[in-house]
Amino acid sequence: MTLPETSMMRDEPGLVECGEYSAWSKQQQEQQQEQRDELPPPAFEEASPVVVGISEWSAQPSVSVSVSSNETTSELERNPSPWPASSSSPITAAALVLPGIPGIPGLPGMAKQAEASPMSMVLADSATAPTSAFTREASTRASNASKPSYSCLRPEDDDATHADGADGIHKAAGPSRMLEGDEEDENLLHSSNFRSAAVPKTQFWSASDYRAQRPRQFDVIGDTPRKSLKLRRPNSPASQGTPRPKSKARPGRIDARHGQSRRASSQTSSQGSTSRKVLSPKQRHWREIAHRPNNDNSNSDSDGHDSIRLDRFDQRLLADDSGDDALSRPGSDISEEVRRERRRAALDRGFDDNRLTSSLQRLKRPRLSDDTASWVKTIPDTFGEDDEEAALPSFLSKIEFKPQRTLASYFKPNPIDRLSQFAPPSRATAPFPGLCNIGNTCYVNSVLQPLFYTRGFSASVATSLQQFQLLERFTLSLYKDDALASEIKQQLCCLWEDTLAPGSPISPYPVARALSVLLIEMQDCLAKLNPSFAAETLGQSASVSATSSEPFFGGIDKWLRPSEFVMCLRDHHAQFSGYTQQDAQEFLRYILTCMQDFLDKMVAYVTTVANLIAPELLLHLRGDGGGGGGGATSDSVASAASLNNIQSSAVQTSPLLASLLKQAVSVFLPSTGGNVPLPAMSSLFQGKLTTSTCCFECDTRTCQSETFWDVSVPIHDRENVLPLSETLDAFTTPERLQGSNKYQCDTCRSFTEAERRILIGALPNVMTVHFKRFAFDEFNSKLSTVAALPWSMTFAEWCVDDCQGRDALYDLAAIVFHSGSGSSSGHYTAVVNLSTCKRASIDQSSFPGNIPAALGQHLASSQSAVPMALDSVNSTSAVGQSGITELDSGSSSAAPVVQADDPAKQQWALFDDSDVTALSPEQVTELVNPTSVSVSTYRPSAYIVMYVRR
Amino acid sequence: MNSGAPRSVAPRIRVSYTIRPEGDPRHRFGVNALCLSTAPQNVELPSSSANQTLYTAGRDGVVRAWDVTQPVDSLASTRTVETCIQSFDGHADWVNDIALCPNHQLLTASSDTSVKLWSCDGELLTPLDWHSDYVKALAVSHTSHHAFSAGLDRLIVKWDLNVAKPSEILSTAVELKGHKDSVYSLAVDHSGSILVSGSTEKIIRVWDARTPASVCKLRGHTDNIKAVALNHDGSLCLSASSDHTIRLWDIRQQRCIATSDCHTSAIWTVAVNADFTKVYSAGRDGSVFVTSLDTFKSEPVLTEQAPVLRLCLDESDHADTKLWVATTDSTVRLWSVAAASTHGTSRASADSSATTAPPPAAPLVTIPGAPAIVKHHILNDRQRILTEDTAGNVVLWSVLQARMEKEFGQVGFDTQLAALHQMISLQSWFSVDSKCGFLTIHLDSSQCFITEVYASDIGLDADPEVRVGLAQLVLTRLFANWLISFNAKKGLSNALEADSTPPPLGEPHSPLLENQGPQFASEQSNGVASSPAADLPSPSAASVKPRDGIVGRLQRMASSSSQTTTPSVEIPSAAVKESQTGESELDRHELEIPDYTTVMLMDMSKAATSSGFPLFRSTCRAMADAWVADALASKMPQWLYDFLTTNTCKRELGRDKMSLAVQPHPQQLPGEPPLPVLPDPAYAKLYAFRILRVRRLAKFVADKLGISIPDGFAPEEVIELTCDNKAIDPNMSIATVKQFVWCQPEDLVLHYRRCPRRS
Repeated sequence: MTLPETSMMRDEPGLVECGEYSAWSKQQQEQQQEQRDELPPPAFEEASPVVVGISEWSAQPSVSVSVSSNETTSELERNPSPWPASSSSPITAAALVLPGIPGIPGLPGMAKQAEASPMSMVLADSATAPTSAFTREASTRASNASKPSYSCLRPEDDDATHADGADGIHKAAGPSRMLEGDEEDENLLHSSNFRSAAVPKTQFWSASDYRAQRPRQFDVIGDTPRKSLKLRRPNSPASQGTPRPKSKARPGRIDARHGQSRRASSQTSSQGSTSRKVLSPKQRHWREIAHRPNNDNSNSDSDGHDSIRLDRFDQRLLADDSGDDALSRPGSDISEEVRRERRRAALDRGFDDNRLTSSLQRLKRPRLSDDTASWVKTIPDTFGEDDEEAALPSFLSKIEFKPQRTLASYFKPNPIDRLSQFAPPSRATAPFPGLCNIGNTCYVNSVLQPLFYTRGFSASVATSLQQFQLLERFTLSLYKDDALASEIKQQLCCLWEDTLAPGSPISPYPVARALSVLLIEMQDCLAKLNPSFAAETLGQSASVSATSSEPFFGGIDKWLRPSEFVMCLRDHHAQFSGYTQQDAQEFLRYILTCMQDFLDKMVAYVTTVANLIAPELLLHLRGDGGGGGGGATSDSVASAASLNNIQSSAVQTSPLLASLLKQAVSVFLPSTGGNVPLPAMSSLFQGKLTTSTCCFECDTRTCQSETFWDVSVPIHDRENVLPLSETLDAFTTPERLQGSNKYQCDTCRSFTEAERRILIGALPNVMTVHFKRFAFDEFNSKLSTVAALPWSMTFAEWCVDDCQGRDALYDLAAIVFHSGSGSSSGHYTAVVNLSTCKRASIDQSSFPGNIPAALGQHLASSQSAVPMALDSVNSTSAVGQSGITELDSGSSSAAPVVQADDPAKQQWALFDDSDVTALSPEQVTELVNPTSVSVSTYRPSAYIVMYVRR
Repeated sequence: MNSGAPRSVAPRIRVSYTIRPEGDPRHRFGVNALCLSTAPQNVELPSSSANQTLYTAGRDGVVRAWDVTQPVDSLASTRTVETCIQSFDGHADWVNDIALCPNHQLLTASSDTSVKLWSCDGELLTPLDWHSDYVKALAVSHTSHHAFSAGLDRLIVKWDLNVAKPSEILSTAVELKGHKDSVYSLAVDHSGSILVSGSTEKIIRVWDARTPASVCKLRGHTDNIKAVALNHDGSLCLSASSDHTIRLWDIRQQRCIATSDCHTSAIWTVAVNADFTKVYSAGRDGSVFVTSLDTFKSEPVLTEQAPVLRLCLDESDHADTKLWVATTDSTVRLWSVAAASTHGTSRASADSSATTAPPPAAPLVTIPGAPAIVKHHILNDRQRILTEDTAGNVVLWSVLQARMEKEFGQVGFDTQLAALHQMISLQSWFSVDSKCGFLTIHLDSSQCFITEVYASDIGLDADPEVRVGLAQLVLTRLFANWLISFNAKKGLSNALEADSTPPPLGEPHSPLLENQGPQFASEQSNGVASSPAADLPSPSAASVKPRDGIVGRLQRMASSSSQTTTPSVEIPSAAVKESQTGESELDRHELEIPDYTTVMLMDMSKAATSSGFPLFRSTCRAMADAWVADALASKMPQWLYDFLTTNTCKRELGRDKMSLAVQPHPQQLPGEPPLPVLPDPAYAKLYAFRILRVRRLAKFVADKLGISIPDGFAPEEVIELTCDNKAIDPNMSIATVKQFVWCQPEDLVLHYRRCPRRS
């Protein structure tokens, strides 16, 4: 439930002054100076003058960035070239964040070396611009403003208990942080360090000039800065010497241009309750939103505001009671911003070589652990200033009339109750990635989570995107300037012109691509949070297998911010623009359609390019693999070994090329695990409805077939539990066309009475049922009838007689719940049966286009010319071909067939935005087959149900 | 109602008229109902001396009577009955059922929601407007003189035919409520005590027809029950259903006692012989079976090519049982089923039914039907419709003249359509349907007035600049007789009327039912108006001020058009003058719509049916009759009344106009100085009639640029207009250019340049 995305603040640099900065920063500065003496000289110190607001920037008192990323360092040293050195800039210092490329075998030595010597690297400002005007102005503003000023520091001794307590309150009894163990502590440690050392100023900017005409404050070269932001505990003088008491007296300035501004402001709440004087960027942001024409956040029913109020409440509570700041988790937003920028750059840039690095990185970026930050929020000033003194009671009274906000709260005491007991709730947190709510986006989160755990969905998305990216990179690295390269580039342009065209608001591709990236991130995250589960479910995905072998870089995010995707969605689809709550089912339909288009195009493209590059790939295999070809055997292990040989020999000439080669081979040669068939969305989710109309006059039956993504069944408003079968009965009830609604019969050539009936003509692998709960009338009212969902069922009763596989058994896989009173308000959550995605249930033979096979054929055709590659290819393709079938049969037989009728043996999780909770069988049963019917508007009611074919 | 002005009616009343050949003696489309009058001796037959009369009711809305008396020497070959002896043309939609009543009357039920009672010589005795949806079934008890009608409005209405005057039958209506679904079949026993009804609720309801009250329900069928029959005393019931079965029910035991599933498709009709021993059944698959009700064994009788809609048994000749078969093609045939019937009558012959009698080779009598229009397409000029009928004939019809324009024979519809394609863009002003087998044109209130054309384009002899609304033209023609009659009633003298129109045909009628003329082929007036006299309004002269006759109306139409032209289009005042000189020409055109054309007012706001409820139906000719004219005036919608009497057309502003831009062409002819932009910035965006000719636009441009057009030169010979770099035919309208040359949804942009000079 974090609030809006960072992009909103991009263009208001330096507007936020938070207290206590300048003094602190001076100290920092000094400290950094000291540090600098000890540290090796920075690899570079430069920044592009492109950055907007550079004067403000240079007026910053100091810029200090600790970079502790081993790989980053190594990368910097290795590869400084992307950053032009023009020292004339007044820019003081830059946090140079270049991601490591752990997957590239060309850099193992460096990476190891970097790992072995973790260090803090501070790139300090050589110019050491005086605090001067801005600081003064800031203090003036701060003193003049009636708003409280924020303190930006957090006590050095992290009080985890307090943090947890606050967290629990905020989240309405969220999962206990206490239970999370060492990992959590480590995170806290990191964040506190960061706070003391590096929050004030972290600047990233890009030296690449492709967006030079577009002012930006924040740009990134390379990939994820997250690990770079995960700062080591700085020297104790710096952190301990941070004068917290002093800071109150001397409001300073925090750079508020970017993501971390939110952090900065949110950090302040611990001390700032009485001294808030200025608008935090967040407040500013909300104010800005509030004045936007299409903004609906003023709607107090909206989910966003619920959370805002709660947040505020939390913060006050914190301020009053604990005095501790548990709010701050730096870095995550920075990295979010960085990621977004980087990704945007990658999208926009096209074929820049930098992209290779960044895109590669994207697939395997470790993430900064940051748990508490998930609920870090700031107070919108629309709520803030006036009732400054109102404090708890009035606010409590507000809360008391609030509906229970989440599905999680359905199981837990009211947040109010939690006020008295600060003990953390004893609820187990499930190790699955959550998704942040970034402003009424629970409809996104609650739909994406079930999709993510739908077997085949994320795998196909990830694989296809990965294939695409690798192809793109591979081809581009191979052909700098030959005809084939230009042809491929042209193909690329054709494919992505929709994406790249500036004025293409309708195109689904940016959204689909953003979603692909997000899903890959989720895979990534899941692989770290829950490696065993990921291995079971996503094991076939090349990306995950690649990432899971990554060295582990510290903390793990338990949630992701889908801000880039959401922003893309808002930008590209008018219906989802703005910040209002949207209908989850509409979003689901849109996303599936969007991904369908995307994947169709992707498959077409990858096929084309794979055929184009096949000979060249062969050539490289032959050339590079000459030395290592001796070990060619007919099994995949040996072929992988030979591939390694290829790569090692290639490293000598071009490590980048070698890495690309490896990846390309891994994607396109079946044995290396990349041969995941691409399931189209349609084969997963799309079924057919058959509408048969029978004219009473001539008894002619006319049948029409149409595809569906989901079946929208009616809900009867009634008091007892409504079984799903009854709603399907109602859906398939014949409709009489009579009266003024007569049927225009082609045979009779007149209007006649007729009966029309809709039945399922073809069942999809994932049967999605949508309850029509919402009446889109003036009240947007909702039917809260409780639906009972069977654990498993067949849809034969509602299928046409000749429907294929009409007797197939389906297991309940996911439910999207809605709690609240209407379509424009309330909250969406998702409950996912994680067991279903372990079951190899997707019929992979129906999936189109096995590109690697085509490539393998191509390779095999030139067998004699390439003995080594031939062997590997031969073996791999053979193994791959059989491997698929083996995989299918093996997985279906070997995978433990969970008794779907027994929920106790299933693994269920509740996804409430960033909050993921494991549900006990009793809880699931209560949700799915409720025994008691307490018809309450705020009771979560099943809205979308997904059944997966067993 | 009796004030001068017509009553204000529901907003959605539309004018419909039919385009069909005069007379139209044959059925088009399927024949829904058959009724054989085999009692020549009991009633005098006024119009013919036929011993046997077959009444047929078709989907073309017409009931026809045929003399099917078997000639003595007709055993040789198929006899064809070409012409009907009587025709009952009063329904606006399918006639679904007919029934002979005592007193030699005929009851008809139609999808236009009405039940009508006719005398057998074709005179409408009374309409029985009670139902609110299609009336599907009729049943008449000849003993008790009660009639029952039922339909899709789930009602069964009982009519008492014993009342003194037919017009009082309506007041005797008794509703039998209880059906939860549409009623498709009815039967009543001879004494009129037991009534059974079959409906889409798949049960047969049994009623006490006297009280009336529901007696019981017979369950067993699994689909719509399309036909029911009762034996003489009402103890046995036979039902045929869309579930492919025939069932025999014992009403006393309330159970099914036999089921036959000889048919492989839906059964739509049954015919039971008089002693209730045999049942002939037929339906969707076209095959006719005979089933013995004793043994319930079935055998095929014959097979028709088309689905059979109705069977009618002719048992007048005991030696030779014959069966009339009506199908969805419009031909009715009489087959001899004597062989089967002789077998079937004796129980012993049931065993020999295995040797199926060969179906008769040829029908005894054929009543041929006419092909029905099954496909139609409105041409681009919005004045003609190309149709294809069941025989494959492609015919071109004129909407303005309501008659056939050209017959192409059996050619490809699409090729003919392509051959007739014209690059003309006009807005649609009418809709058309062919559900009755012929074309019916619908003019929908205010929408129809938009479309205008130049009078010269449609063959009117008028100034090239005179524009005529197509709907206005048609309406004026359709209601010309009414206007004359209406004005005559006002006592306003107008010489034109006397000259141009014949005096009202027939003697003036008092508005009593018996005075109404026959509907068809009679030289007497064809009033179909249904309102009693008391309801007729007498329009007051104060509210209506018709000035002159039709020609003047047309002139006023033209002049009113000229008043509304844009500044860029000025119609010379000569138009009016010229049209005055051409009066006789115009008069000839005025009468182009045949006076047998049927005009209907349909109330579309009556929601029960999709096709509207007929408020008024008459021929153009009959509208000259004062009685009909009054009836029409009472039913006429306000928009039509306003148009006819005061020539005010309600239309949406601006829909007949479009905006366009006219700019200098970037490439002038070599040697020519480039033309400047139009002087007034307001001219950058023009707003002009859609039918504005490009020639006129060229003149406009020349005028505004100060380029003089030399004598003997047309404007297009000085200024050439191009669109999309293509020179435009100056005769095109700008709407046509937009649709066929510009081809974009955005505003049309035209470029002008000097025309290459004539050498």
